[in-house]
Amino acid sequence: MATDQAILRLENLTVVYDTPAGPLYALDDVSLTLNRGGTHSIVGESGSGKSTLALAAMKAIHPQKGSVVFDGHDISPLKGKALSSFRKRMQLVFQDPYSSLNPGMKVHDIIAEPLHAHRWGSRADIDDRIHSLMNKVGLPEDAGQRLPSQFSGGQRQRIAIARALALEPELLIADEPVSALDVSVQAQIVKLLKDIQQDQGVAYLIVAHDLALVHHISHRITVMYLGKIVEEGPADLLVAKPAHPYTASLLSATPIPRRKTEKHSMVLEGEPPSAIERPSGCAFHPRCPIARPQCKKSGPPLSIEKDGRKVACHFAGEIPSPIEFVE
Amino acid sequence: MSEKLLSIDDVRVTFPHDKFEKFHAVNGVSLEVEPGETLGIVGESGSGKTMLALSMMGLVPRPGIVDGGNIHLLGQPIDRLSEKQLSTIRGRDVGMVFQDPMTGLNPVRKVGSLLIESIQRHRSRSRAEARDLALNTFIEVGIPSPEVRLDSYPHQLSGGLRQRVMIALALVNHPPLIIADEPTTALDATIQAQILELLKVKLSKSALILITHDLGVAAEICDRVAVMYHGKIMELGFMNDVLDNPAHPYTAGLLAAAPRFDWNRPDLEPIPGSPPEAGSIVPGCAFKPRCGFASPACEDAPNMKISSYRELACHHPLFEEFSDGY
Amino acid sequence: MSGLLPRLRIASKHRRPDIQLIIGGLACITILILTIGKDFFAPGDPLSGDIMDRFKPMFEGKYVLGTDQLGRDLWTRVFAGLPWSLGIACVATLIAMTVGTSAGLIAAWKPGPVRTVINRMVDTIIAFPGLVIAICIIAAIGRGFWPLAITLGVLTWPFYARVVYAEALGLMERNYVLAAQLYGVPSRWILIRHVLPGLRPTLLVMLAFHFADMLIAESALSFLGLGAPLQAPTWGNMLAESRQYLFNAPWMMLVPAAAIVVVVVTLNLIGDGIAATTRSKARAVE
Repeated sequence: MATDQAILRLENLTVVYDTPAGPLYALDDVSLTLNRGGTHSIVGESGSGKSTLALAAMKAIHPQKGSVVFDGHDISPLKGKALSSFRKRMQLVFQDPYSSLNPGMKVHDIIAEPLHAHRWGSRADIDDRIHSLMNKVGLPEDAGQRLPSQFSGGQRQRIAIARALALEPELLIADEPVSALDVSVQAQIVKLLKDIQQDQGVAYLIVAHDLALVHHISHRITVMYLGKIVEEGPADLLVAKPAHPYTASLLSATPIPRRKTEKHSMVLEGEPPSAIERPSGCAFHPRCPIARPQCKKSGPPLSIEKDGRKVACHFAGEIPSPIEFVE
Repeated sequence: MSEKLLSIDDVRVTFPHDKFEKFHAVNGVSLEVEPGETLGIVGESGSGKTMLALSMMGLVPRPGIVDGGNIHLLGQPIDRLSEKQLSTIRGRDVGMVFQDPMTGLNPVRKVGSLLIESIQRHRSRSRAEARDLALNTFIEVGIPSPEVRLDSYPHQLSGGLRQRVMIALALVNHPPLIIADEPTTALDATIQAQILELLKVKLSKSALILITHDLGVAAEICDRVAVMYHGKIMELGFMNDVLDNPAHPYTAGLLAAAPRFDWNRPDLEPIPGSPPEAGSIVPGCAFKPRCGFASPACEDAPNMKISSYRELACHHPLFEEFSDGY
Repeated sequence: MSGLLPRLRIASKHRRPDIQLIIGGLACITILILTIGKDFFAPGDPLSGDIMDRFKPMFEGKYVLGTDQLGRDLWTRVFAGLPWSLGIACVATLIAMTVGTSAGLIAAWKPGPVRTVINRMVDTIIAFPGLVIAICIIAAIGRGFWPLAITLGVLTWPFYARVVYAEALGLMERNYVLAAQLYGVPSRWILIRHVLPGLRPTLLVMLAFHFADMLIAESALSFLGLGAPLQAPTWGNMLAESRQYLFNAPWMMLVPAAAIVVVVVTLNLIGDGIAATTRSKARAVE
């Protein structure tokens, strides 16, 4: 894999919090490569560490170990002005379109803020740019002078995307960008993001909990459980031939509008453990349908296969995909 | 009187509003629920599905009112009973499961005590008997360490456990009807699957109305489904039928926009435009501006077409069976 | 049940400004007009009077509010006191608000030694009894408009700092602040454009009540002889002078006291009104 290909490399990121009950591993040795212009999604339930990963990638939090490499540059130790020049090239879209926009600022000013902050151009230039951005994301002409509270959730997310695109970033990190939206609006935003990717070659790192959505829009998917990667691979293979039992159960658990006969049920027992009380060996073993004594004793290493897929399981590939192939 | 469990006829729910004269949450909905069946009511935000659910239990919050139509539960006219009569029916004949357990569970009371109180009220048992019944219900819904959990407070429980408590509370007196409003929306996927499984299995004897915005969730456990848009039902039919052959363009639009692990990974097709402003009155078919099949006929509101096991409010149904069947 | 109501904007009643704000606002405007048009409403010399007309009671003859021991017209004197009292309270409030808000914002933004130092200062100054310190300072530096105004301002900025610090910490948790940081917006900017506007409602309310406090403090200090020069027609001085003649001419006390009460009540109404309006606005938005 040529280094030039990758716009972002996360290498062995580890984020540990000190709690009275002991160390809490929010992220445990997580690595990921995102190619230019591609879409890589991170999927997991609560406690999986996926949001922590997004924040670490954005350098909003400091990992105890590991590095963030952007376009070949290790930006982990950077701060202040040095970091600022990279911040221009990687932007973030938040999950909640209601709280990520300042309710007292006009939409025009919200989108203009990053441009002003980086002294992008004259006032006239900025106005033009905002005009074209609003057009591109499908906001009405007069939106600029209104307040966010006058817009629907989908439109607010468009505003957030316009703001994120203002500085023409090469990488967009989106934390649950559509989970607060209705299905029909989700599809609109997804289409918008795809169009932008085609036009501008922006790479996306998407954090989500909905495996079905992510399957439709990603090139590669990383599945996380309790701070570790359990599986990673191309999106279509992940669904057709899941290697890890957790992936298989996630596939089965994700509600999709299809006949029940087209999906095999694999309901897991129990609740996900808290990160503080990590089970011994493989963290998934208490809930795993194919767990064996070995799984309690030793945690499976993350093995990298020939086709680039990663999986951390002693008995990978035993469970077939619960999703039927239908023409 | 028919033996339908629940029978709703042209129900409207409105609120006073400053902008329009009235905010129309529900715009004329009719449906029937048979004993033991699971009916899904699917709608996006602003469709009115929650208000519809609340009206079935006489729980429309003030200043809203049921502004038209009839609601009959087990033969009783719900919209015309007093609060006192209604509170007897709730808990005994209807159980409700909310999206946010904090709305349904009193945060300063032990969860067990809520069940015990409900049992004593509706089935006049002694406290000891009631506690036993509560314990059994907890076991039934799969709460681990049920003895201990009876004395827990809601904040001590995880999201999944809280939802199980809500379900226990809803079915403890074995009501013939349970209404669940987005019971799994705030939960993780694997926990959601557990809760849906629980609903499917445990409520095989009771009828269940499942309100959700997610067609996929409805597909997991519902026998029949009603698709709501802007306060009206657009389509109503058997779940598998509607999934395989949607008759209404809106339903078809929802299906095309929803991700479904299609191995070919086609692009998701958005429905163009946005819904009309919630609460407004739209002349003709509310979906017309966004519909690819709209025609001048759609200026008139379509009435429900009833055919074998499918109801539809559309002038241009997506397959032939309806065109003459009206 | 309110949790079940989706984002319905039901009644517009919530959006009308609070009645207290309306009354307070009108009263405030009236006071301002009277202050500015002092020469029009109360021509005449507040410093001299006709000794033959001393101790005239209120509402008799040409002296509407009566006269004092030197025959000076109380109506004229009360008006003369307006600019002094309002002026000192104004300056003191402005000093306290600017210094206090800046200190609070900086303390919230910069953890570490800066925050600790500012918070310690705030705690120390608040711990001391304000009026006592004021007396000591004035006794040391002498009386007059500016010494008084500055002293009061410098003694009370910690109140603003403390409130601003706490609120700013909360506001900084908001997603849009995090977003701005991640977009590389400089800190100054973030504080001014994102945090400060969020503080506006609280600051306005504090302003109103603080102004009233400063007014009372000024009157108290003048009453004790530590404020205005002794001959100046300030309400505090008028109160001080009225003590001797309380039984002969009670209106000499009533007039300045009433003036103080009116202004303070006006400010309290405004303060309560703003608080109530911002509360209901926050409810109406959802």
